[in-house]
Amino acid sequence: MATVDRLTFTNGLSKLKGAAFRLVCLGATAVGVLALAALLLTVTWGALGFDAAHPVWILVVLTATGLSTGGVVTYARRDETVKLAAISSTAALIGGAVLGVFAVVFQLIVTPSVWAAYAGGALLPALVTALVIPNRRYRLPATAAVLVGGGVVATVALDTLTELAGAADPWLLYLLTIVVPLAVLVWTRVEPTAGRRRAGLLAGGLVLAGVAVPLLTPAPDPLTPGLVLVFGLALFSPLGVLAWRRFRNGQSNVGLAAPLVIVGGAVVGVVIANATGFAAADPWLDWQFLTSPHSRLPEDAGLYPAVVGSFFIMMVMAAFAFPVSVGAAIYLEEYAPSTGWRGRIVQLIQVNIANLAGVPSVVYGLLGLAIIARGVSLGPFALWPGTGTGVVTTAAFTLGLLIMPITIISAQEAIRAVPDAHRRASYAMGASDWHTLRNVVLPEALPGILTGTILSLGRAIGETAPLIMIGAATTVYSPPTSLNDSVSAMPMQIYAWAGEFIADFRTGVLSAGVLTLLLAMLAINAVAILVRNRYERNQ
Amino acid sequence: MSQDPHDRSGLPSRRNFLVSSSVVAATALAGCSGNGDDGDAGDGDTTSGDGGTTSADELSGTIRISGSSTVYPVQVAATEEFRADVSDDVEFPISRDGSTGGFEKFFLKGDSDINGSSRPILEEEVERARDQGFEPIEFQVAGDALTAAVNNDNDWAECITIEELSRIWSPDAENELWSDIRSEWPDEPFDLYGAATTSGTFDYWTREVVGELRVIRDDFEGTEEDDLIARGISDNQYAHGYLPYAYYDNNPGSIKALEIDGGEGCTEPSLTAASDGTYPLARPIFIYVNSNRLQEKEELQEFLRYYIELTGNQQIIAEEIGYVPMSDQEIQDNLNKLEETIE
Amino acid sequence: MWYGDDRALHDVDMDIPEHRVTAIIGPSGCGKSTFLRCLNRMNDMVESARIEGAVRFDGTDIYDDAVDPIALRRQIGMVFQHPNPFPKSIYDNVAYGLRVQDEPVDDDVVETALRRAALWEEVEGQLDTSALELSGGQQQRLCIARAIAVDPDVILMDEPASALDPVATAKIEDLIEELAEEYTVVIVTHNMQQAARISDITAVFLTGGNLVEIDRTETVFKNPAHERVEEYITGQFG
Ligand SMILES: Nc1ncnc2c1ncn2[C@@H]1O[C@H](COP(=O)(O)OP(=O)(O)O)[C@@H](O)[C@H]1O
Ligand SMILES: [Mg+2]
Repeated sequence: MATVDRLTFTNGLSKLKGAAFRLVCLGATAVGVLALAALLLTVTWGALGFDAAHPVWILVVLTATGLSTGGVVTYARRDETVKLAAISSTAALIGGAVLGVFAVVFQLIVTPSVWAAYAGGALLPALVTALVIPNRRYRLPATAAVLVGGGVVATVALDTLTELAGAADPWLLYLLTIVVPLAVLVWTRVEPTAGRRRAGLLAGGLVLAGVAVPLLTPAPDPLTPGLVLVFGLALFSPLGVLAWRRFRNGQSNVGLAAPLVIVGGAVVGVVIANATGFAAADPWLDWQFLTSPHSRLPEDAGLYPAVVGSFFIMMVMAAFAFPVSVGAAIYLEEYAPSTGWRGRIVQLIQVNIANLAGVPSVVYGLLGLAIIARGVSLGPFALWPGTGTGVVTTAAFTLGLLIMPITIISAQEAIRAVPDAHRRASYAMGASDWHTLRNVVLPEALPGILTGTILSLGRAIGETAPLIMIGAATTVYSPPTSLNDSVSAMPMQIYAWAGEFIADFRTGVLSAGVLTLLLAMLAINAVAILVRNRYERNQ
Repeated sequence: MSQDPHDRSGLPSRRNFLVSSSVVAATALAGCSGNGDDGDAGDGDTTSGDGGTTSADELSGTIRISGSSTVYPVQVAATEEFRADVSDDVEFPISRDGSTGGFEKFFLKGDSDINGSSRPILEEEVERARDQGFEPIEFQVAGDALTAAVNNDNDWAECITIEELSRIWSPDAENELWSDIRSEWPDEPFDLYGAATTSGTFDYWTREVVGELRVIRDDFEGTEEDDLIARGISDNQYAHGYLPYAYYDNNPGSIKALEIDGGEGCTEPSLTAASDGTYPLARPIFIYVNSNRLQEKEELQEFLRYYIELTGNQQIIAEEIGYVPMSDQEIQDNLNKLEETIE
Repeated sequence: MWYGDDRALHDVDMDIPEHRVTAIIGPSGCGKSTFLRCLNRMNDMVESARIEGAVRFDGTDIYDDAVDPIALRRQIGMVFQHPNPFPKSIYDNVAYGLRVQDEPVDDDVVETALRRAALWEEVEGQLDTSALELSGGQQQRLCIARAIAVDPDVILMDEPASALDPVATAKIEDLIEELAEEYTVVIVTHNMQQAARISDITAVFLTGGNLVEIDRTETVFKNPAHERVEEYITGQFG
């Protein structure tokens, strides 16, 4: 009896504490998840205009989507490789979509003919050099030389080249500068493993698609056939690489169709529901919304210039913040003195960087307005002329400063996470500091650095306060195409809709805007997670 | 960049616009003739030799607009229609900063060409503009019937005098309860919502209702967003606040508007009452233009000609936005003023 | 040899013969690794480390100002206690040393190094896969291949088998014996049987960083000159 007691009796109180704690943690998680779900649900509901729809219509659509999703899930659950394929193809499509938006915005800014001038003058020759030179030792310097030389030539002859390129249809330029090289690349990759027939089929198919897509698909304004081609390539290339890898490893590609099946289910649902004759949803978030500027009438209003503006700002910001923060992080981690009075200064700087990460964003806005926008002069000498209020450069630099403490710290952490054993191994091989950094530390830290940077892009895209401070416009009508153009960003326009007189703005249009912003943010964060996961799997 | 043809049935047709503006063009314009036979796409080569004046079809440039959120819908309407009708090569970055905010942050620093304002510019602001070397040119673009509103469940107040409003909002008065204003009203405290200090509406209310510019009690919710005012009012039976008539007009049923008695009897806020002068809280809303920019930028001149014409458009100003349109006479006066400044 | 104010090694004086396996044994913390790192100046990386005296390699003092530690380490390779391949492909791991020395990388060199490290048969055909997919023993042999790909004169090994299972250990031991035909090997181990099996010369360090005895392995194990060494070898302390 005593033995049984000893074995069964545990401290009741501690058991209770444990259970209570577990419950509290569960509650906290539930609150967070439910709040987020409720937000997403209301916003989606409003943005897709479900309140205009008859309950039967909604029921049919939801049932069809649920069935296709459920079908995919049950099918994928039985087989680990199918499941993995389903997940990674969804991820690849999300990543491809983000890539596509960036690519389209990039092309809108540089224009097809300037792109063609540089692609034809520098990028393609460099690519050919890299493919042709067999010796690894000379390949890199030769490629770099061709790239720089070609770049200089293209810049000098830019007017002539753009004029030349301007004569051709943009989609033809993209075909020649992107699709054909890509087809060649696919051929060289696929041919050794899969044989001539398959490689030829793939490369040929690619070129054929490159011709057919712009010619056959209608390009909805303001997209051009060329931009549709660019977006399509960016959207599907991650999926293509994924499919090829799986094929090479002898894995089945059935699971890759999962996102298609789910979306297909929803589409079929909508078709059936429309056929029932009940009132359909009247979505605010539609093509018109994504491609029009603001209007005084809610039915005509859209977010196009702000979407392009946000992505333009992000690109310039990343181009500026990424090298600076990686450089600072490398210096602080690898070179900065750690002892003596200089070491203490470094420590002070380090603490300050950490503090800057917590400074409210309005303060960065003030800084951006006072210094970046209006310029700095010392007496009669202009040290920095100022980039002007409300333009892309000012916004990008200001937001760049805002994210820099975070990107520096995350880059430092990524560098610190490289095992010392790897550094030691490199030094023991007779590698110099530079070699070790270049060949061991940076490649290993890069995914971590990228993850940090991409996540901070996601933060910057939602910032409003600093943009208001630097005088960014609420509304612009055409997307910015140069660094000195006035720019608006998604949160600016969305905030303005919240204060409109007409109720439809504050419900439907606002929801559509918020959903667009949220989706952009979630997609960018998904890309960051993707990069990190790939990296962790490789470790 | 052709846009899909939305229903613009009620808008001033391109032909109408050109006819009406050609009167002005004949008197005041040298190079800009209304040769209105083609569409939006300029076909080049119409540059006349005299100082680079170009036809309207080729206008391009950027016009920066700042200021009041009360004027914002009008600014959007004018710019949007101008781009559709005249030239979509002119870009209009518009910000909503409040009348005072827009003057302070942009207009008086020379950073914006046009500032919307829901109150007349202050003498002090005119002086600061002159220090910068320009004159702010005033154009009234619409009229508003500033609306004093209460909760829908408020069954005691129907009409209120300016004097009573003043007693509610003035800082020194010790009025905290509805019954302090009229003894038959409930013994309940007010819950007050008004415009933020950066807003021209705030300036108007303090001067016209309380009696002195920017003097007001400090225990109210001040915001630049009319929607927040409306929501504050609709959430509390004892709430009261004021907002542009356009908001009230576009959201019928969400709040209840009070009739105002300015000494000549109670008047309901309405566009008619505001335009015929019977509504005591009728107020003009303005845009101010930087005179230097106006002289330099042809696209700005052309835009303002269009804008002033558009302020008389019943469909856009009254029905779509909810303000009082300008009369033909006022429009003509404004156009004359514009051409005088350009000269 | 000091770490800050703590002295880690006292008056160590020993010769390391060419093309032989020299084992260094001793209890934990007695300074074996510290000594080994003195031989290729890896202690330079430790900020607090300070050294007095000379280490002569082919007659030159490697601590001479004229000696570049980077060049030195190209002559004296090192294998660590825990396998530490880079997260790169097997091929790139072996080629790493050649690349940092700006020497042309060709597949033959990589193959030879892998063959000498007795790993070729196991990884042939999968040179492009990540080195991290190999087992612990394979990884350690890869590290050895990486070290010998640049054809050094000396290979230093710090307890190279202590993190491995017995089968992998046996493979490494066989490998070390073969390597001694071409290279000078210095191996730290706390496993006395291992030292006895594979080394020609054995040096015994005892607590406090003193080199107590160095002699032919047979002599050290069968007939040690010092009583404390005998006690250590017979397992009475340590
Ligand atoms: N990097 C270092 N900094 C300071 N002290 C160290 C360092 N490395 C080793 N030591 C000290 O030197 C002594 C010898 O260590 P080590 O050479 O690692 O011994 P062993 O390899 O024989 O176990 C120990 O007391 C250890 O604490
Ligand atoms: Mg050790």
